Amino acid sequence: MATPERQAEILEQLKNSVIEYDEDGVTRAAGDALAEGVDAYQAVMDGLAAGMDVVGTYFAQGEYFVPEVLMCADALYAGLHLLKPHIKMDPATMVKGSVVIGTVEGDIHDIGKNLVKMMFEVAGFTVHDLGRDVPLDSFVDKYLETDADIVCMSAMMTTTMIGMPVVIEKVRAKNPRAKIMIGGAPINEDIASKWGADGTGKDAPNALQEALNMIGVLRELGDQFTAQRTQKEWGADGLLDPARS
Amino acid sequence: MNAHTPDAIREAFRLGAPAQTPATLFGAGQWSVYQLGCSMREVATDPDRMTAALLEAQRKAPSPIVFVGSGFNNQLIGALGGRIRYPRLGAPEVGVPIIQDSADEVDRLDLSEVDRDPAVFTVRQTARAVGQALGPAAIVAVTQWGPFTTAGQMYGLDGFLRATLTAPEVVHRMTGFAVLALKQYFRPLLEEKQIGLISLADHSASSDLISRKAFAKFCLPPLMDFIDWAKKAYRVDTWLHICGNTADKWDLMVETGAVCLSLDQKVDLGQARRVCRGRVCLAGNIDPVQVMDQGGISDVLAAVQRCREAAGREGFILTTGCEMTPTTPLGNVQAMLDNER
Repeated sequence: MATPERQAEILEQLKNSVIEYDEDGVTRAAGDALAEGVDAYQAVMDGLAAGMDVVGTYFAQGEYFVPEVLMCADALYAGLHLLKPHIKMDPATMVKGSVVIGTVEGDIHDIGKNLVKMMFEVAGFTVHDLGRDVPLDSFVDKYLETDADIVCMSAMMTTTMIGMPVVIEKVRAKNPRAKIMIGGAPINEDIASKWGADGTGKDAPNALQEALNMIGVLRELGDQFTAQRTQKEWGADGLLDPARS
Repeated sequence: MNAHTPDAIREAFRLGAPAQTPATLFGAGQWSVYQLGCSMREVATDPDRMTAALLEAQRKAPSPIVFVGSGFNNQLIGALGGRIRYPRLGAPEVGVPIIQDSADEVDRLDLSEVDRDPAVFTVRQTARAVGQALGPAAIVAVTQWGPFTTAGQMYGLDGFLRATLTAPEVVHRMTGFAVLALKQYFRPLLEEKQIGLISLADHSASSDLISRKAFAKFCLPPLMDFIDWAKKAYRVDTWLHICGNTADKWDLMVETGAVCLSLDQKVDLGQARRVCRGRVCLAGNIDPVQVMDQGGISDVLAAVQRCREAAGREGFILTTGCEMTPTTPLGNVQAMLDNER
């Protein structure tokens, strides 16, 4: 088992390697984490996701742009690929939720959508990715099929974003309380509100920023999970100890 | 002087102050096709229908510039081997890019394919027909992506953006080829003197995507190359549109040599005016969705007033900040164009 100092060092390496879009560095640090007994969930949230949190700040400040963020996302995924199979958590108390996500019909620009998807995956959400240029009815069909918590739509073009209110209306007709998020370069709070969406990036020019802002919320959810785990006195293996629950 | 004449547009290009602020449609290809009740697929290889769509739009909402090929920019990539998809909604898109493994593949591409492509033929024929039909009543512009966006569409945008960091030589090679492809696309029309303006939209060069440094390194040189070629060889100017808030690169956009910078609705027009005054004509920037599509005529007129006050009269053309939606109400379009009421 790694000492607390060594554990902190590994988490810092994971974080910095994501920030510096150093895929090899992430891979090495993730390997060290697994070899030295660092909790995989902590490695994801306090290493990889913490790094992406900084990337989001850099993006908001105009220090990083989409190419840098794509490279950081590649690095994050490299680590996630290694760490995720080793996450030991009680499914009942994991960050729960499922989303249906896609780029609306007529629009094949999916960079922002893919980054939003990544954030959800990091947090442990079940993601039903419909891809790009998704027929509008497919959002509704998938939502009903999966009973998802959130429907997320992305559009980059002014000429395609007009499909969003159509989907919102159809989803709301099935479930008036359904949660719907929209994002993309031409989307802002006013238009999201007018169309009845529940959310979009508050200050962000596009869905990418929304995704990056989201990581802070996701980490808070992770912290809540950790608190719950402590309160419930989880066993050393990461699973709830039946004797103490 | 009538605000809707090409002369007023040309005066604005020369940084003059026409008696009334000239207003024009920008792009509006999908909107025009929608007005005719057709799909983009139906029009894509039918010069008669594409011409009819633009002339019908011109009849309903006379514009001093007619942008031919708007909505069909990806056809150039299709002509060179990209697989074009026609979604039920929206413009034809590149479903599969040209480059599969390596930028070396551009060496095997045959630029003369551009001249044999039926969709490119359709745009060219439409430019000729619209020019003949409208004569001096309108400036015929033909639209295409800028070199950086063209190259990104050929290569696949995700990988192309990564290459700006990991393989700059690939980006230079692709943008160099894109410039050749654009010249091939426009050359016949320029030689025939069929068009009075070139319109380039470089949305992948947006500040939402790349930095000022990357713009200076990868976007500016090919834009200068192409714009200078059209101006020197054919005396045809270029209208340049870049999406998003471009405040960090207006000086570089001026350096491209474009006659007019078409600014997105995210831009503070007053700030742009202060930076660019006396250097280049500006066009913009009514919100195409919130105002033009979703608003009413009073919203359009209020936006017109805001733009006018922010931009001043010299070297300014009123238009939308980006491509209009197909469903934009005709009354709103007419209100923007007939903005003196």
